Amino acid sequence: MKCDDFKFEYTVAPNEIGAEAQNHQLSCAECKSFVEQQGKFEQQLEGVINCTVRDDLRHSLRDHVIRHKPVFWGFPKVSIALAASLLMAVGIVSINQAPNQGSTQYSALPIDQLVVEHFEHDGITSTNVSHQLDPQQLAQVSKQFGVRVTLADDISFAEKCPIGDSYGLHMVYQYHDQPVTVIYMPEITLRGTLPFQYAGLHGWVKPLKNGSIAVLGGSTIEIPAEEFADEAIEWL
Amino acid sequence: MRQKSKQLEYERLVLVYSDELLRYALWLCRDKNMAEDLVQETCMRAWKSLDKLRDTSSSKAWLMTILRNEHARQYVRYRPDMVDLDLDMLSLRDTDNDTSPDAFALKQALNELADEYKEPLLLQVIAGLSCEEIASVCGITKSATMTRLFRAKQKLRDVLRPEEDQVGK
Repeated sequence: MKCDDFKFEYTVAPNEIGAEAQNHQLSCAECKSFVEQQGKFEQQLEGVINCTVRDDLRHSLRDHVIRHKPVFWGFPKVSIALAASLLMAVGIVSINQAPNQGSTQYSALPIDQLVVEHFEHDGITSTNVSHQLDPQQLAQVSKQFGVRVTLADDISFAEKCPIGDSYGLHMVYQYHDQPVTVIYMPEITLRGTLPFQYAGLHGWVKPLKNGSIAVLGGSTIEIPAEEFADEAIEWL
Repeated sequence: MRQKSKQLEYERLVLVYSDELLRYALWLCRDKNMAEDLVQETCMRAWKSLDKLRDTSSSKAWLMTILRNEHARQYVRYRPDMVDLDLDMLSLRDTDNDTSPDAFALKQALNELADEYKEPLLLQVIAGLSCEEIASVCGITKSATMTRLFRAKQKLRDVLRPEEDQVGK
């Protein structure tokens, strides 16, 4: 590969360069220095383009939709009757056809991807808090999931969050003075422990008696061994 | 899709992508209030057509496409009357933190970029979309996307080069 081709490929999308470009980068001193300069430029660009977004934006977006959802009884009754007839007709036809695919789209998303995707949303803000969470607050949130968290002294964050098509208990556990994210997902099950390492994160997801638990952190953070899952929570 | 599942899926999308949507909207509208309205409308449309989202792995590109279309539908015709350079810079200054001369120069150069170059770049930097996803959002080929990204970045780097040379000397 020529240096100009490498520079083009790298400039266009640094995260999408192919194997040939990667090999070239390793062996070419000129391109190594180009990569360093380009990295600085990309950082600068990101700083200019990405601005701070107010915290309550997502809540206002949720509320906006809830406020504007059509009210069932707001429709004219004739329309409802017509729609009901049509649905019944469709239903009768469907009964005689092959069964549909059933499950919702996002349940097809791998569990580790769900967890990482959620982490990308509030992972940074949640891990910024380093002091112990009020034990009462923790007890209140965990009670909603029918569990008691046994590591209360080292939990700095706990919130009920949507994960996939259900909710999970998102916590941050201070492990060796480093923030480790722990997510208990009562409605998501899997057969065996699933280790993962991508998107700058590493961790594992382990099945529990009820649902599963994910433990993850940045690639440089030490995370607890799998046995941690058995000790972290108790069912009420 | 059942109502509860739909609600959860919508919340997931809003939770994960609302920041990126607003950032992209800010660059398209160049005005904070208009951008927030645009994101709100985008979310409303996403909610209404959530059943059509077949592949959740492409949900980010799907939302960006809705936002882009909505912007084209609602706002493009107002822009020439409402936005001049001063207002532009004012609203951008109001929304970010970097006030260095380099950042200012970059911002200005970015503002002056033609939309066809700016859009792919914004989609890459703000939303982290791949070249293929950008191509689908903008309705162009992947190779055209790559060319536009390259030219856009080259032009922006040129803005900083004189500074770099001076530092080098």
